[in-house]
Amino acid sequence: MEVKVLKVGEELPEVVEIRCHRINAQVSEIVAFVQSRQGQITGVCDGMQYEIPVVNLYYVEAVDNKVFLYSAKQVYETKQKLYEIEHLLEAKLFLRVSKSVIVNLMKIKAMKPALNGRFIAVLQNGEEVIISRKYVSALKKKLKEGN
Amino acid sequence: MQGKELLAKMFRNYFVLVTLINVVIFVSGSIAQPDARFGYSVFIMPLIYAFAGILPQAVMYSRRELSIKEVLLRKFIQLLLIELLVNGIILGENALKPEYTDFLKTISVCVVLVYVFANIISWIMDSASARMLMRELAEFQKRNEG
Repeated sequence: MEVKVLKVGEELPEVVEIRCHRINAQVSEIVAFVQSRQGQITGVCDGMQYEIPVVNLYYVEAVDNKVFLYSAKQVYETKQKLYEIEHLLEAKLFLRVSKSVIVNLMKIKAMKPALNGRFIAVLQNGEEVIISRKYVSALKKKLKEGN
Repeated sequence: MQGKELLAKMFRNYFVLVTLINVVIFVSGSIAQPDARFGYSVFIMPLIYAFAGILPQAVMYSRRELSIKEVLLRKFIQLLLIELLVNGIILGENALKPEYTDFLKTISVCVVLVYVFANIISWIMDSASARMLMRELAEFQKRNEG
């Protein structure tokens, strides 16, 4: 696929246009990437596709090679890999807190110790996410540095 | 718990155990045999017992994140292994003889006490860390609001 970048004047809106013969996995991946850069992630729930604003996400979890996005009440499946989402959200207010979970730090209501040197983050919707000991130093660093 | 993480925790727990074992020996010895006298070799014993105490921590090793139930089950297995190792080191084959039953019971109770205290200390340290993290998180959320 040829890639063209065209500069436009300030008076015109910025547009990403994909001209393709058919919408395949590669095209869908590019669309998902562009949307996530704009603060949205594509997720599927009950067979319907949604654009979820990342600020509404509570956490992202990988389970058995599938990645799920959790909002206050809904769970969406996404085709993106966890490391891809981590890369996209690292500049935002999210942080990887275990091997399989990325959490929205703005949605944490409380923290308490768990067994074995880990912590439990209690989210605003009541759900609990485990913070692995390995990621605690990264959490401290992120909290100190701000964003 | 992963390899490096496990080793770091074992290292930290080793020194907690040495301290607690010294306390338990002092307290139980003062009650049971207050006039007993020992040689210098007695100083090395808490180090050996603590080493035996941390080895079963290997059962906590896991490539994936363990659930609370799994951790509790593994902790129970860990305690059983510590009992076996410590009693094995102190009593050896005498552990099976009826005349050593009281001694065996006393050691077993001491092991449980040290195990419980070590976990309580770990919990207190983690609670303090959680409170500090929560304060920092509240400031972080305030800075990034809106």
